Amino acid sequence: MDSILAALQTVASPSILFFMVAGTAAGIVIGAMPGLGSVLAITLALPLTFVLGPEASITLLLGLYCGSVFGGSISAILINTPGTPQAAATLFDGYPMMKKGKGGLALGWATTASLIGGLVSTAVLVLAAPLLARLGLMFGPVEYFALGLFALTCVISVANEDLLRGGAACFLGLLAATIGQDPLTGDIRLAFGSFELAAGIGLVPFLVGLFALSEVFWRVSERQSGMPDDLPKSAFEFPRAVELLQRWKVIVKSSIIGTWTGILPGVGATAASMVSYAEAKRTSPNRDKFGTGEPDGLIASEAANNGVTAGALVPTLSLGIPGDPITAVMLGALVIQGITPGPRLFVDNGDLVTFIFVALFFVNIAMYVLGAMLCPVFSRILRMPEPLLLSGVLVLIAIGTFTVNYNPFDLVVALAAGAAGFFLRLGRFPLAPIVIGFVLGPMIEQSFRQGMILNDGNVLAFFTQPIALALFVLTAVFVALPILRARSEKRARSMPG
Amino acid sequence: MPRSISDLIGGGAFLGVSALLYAQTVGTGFSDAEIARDPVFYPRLLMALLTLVSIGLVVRSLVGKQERPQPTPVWWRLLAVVLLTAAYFLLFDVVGFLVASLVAMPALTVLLGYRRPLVIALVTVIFVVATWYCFAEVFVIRPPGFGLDDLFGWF
Repeated sequence: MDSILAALQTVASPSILFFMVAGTAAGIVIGAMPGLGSVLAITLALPLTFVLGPEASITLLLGLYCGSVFGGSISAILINTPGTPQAAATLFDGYPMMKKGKGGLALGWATTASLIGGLVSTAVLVLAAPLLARLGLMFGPVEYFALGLFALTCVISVANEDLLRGGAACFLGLLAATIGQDPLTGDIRLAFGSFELAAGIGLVPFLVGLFALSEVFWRVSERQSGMPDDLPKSAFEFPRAVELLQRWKVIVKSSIIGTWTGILPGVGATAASMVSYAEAKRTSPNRDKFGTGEPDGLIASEAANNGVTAGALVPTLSLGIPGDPITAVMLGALVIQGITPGPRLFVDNGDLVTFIFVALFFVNIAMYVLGAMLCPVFSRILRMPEPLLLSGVLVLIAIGTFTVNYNPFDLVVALAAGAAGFFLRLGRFPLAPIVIGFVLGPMIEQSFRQGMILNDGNVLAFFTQPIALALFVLTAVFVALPILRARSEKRARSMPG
Repeated sequence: MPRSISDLIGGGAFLGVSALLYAQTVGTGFSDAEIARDPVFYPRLLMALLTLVSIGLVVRSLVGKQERPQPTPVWWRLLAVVLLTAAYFLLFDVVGFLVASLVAMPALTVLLGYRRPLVIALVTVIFVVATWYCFAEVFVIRPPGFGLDDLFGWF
């Protein structure tokens, strides 16, 4: 109880409130800009976490995360273009509502559903994370290695259903993390004789280059750009309480689908909103009207994608395993603060964990209030010419990357990562496994080698430990699933008729 | 880029990366250590896995079916932006944030096809100065080069 009161007191302090409002508002704006997305929002803010305290950093990142996931719905409703992939299912009914002159109400439904999705998943986080962390306290190096492997394979298996490309990207991320000092012996390896590389590749320049700078390169290389000039103006309109009560089943079910999907490593908010939309379409009493501007479809997508936010934090906080690239970057930000997510976090930094729960709750409230207040501004913001937007992002990339260490080499790393990211996108190689491999790499290497030392170099002994064995089996299932699915689809296609 | 080509190029590039990194682990003298304490054992394991996957990509490119090609990038514009970014990053440390950004931001905007000088000038000045102020005064992170306080100190 004391820690909850202390967390409430911290959240109520002016600086935390400032970062909550600023982070959420910036997240909504970035999320609303088609193509920018949650990862870019968080990677751009990452350098700031070096100078902010843990509470301020966490609040800023949570605000950006929740705000950007919700923000994607705004452009989906107003201009039929999802700001983020997570909002792809929102446009199925959001834009038709807009065309019927109910754009304000559509925004109202999106905001309300996002709030409820966020709050339900926060409640699940509060209940599930400590339990999972208690299980995690039984983990030794071998179990951590198995868990790390499991997290990686989940990402590979959902990386466009292409194991080879996902695997290549993942090994690339793991290899990049080995450059520099060996975590066990302190020897320098793979540094090419470079003094700068001997310290390893910095997390911030690597991530900012890979995601943010490559996004700039990608967008300038495309022929089409810019927003439509004739954006409609929409006033925000809250849904009526009676209607809200009539649709409580779809809201709660979609929130739970989103939360559960978020807990599963690597599945993500896009899949959550699609699954939730499909489920609502199957069971809603208004299913015949789906696709023509039915609020149930909009609610299903938005409650689910915001439900993912706290769901993805469950494995991140309790086991130190990020559920998606966004939480991987957040994990990196926590490590920068000297906080190591995992079971020990709940024992050693219980107050901070309580603060995260309370902050997440209030971030969702802030998202609701800001979403309602700023709606008239969004159609104006969406008119911003893309060249101005991209050049502004470039300035933020440069200052954010440079001021972390005041080291020009970081800009070289960012530029190289940006160029690599561009070519990987061009070849349809997924970037998410690279970042998850890079962030999890040190933990996987350390636990693997410590496990080897503990078992006298006998890798087979890893399989004699029950928790590790269960995780290895799950890993094998997750790797095999996409292969089996592809085969069965191929067989179904080749069947006559 | 069709999938077969991207698989071939990607697989070839990853094989090159593996070979390059492997060359860095040869002759280091680390290999005398016990396997788990050998600093290059784990990276070599990853290189072996990357090599296997890369071979898989190359083989698939030769036998696999075609995929819908990606739209061709506007290469000249991309190259110009990469060069501009490199020049901006280089200038960043030499002349500082304010000057470098006041030059690079409008240059990039014009390069991307936006041609309203007054809007560009206004947005550039407001955005760059506001960013400098946020970093230097709010977050107390001093951007490189001279700042607004130095500028106003002249008057």
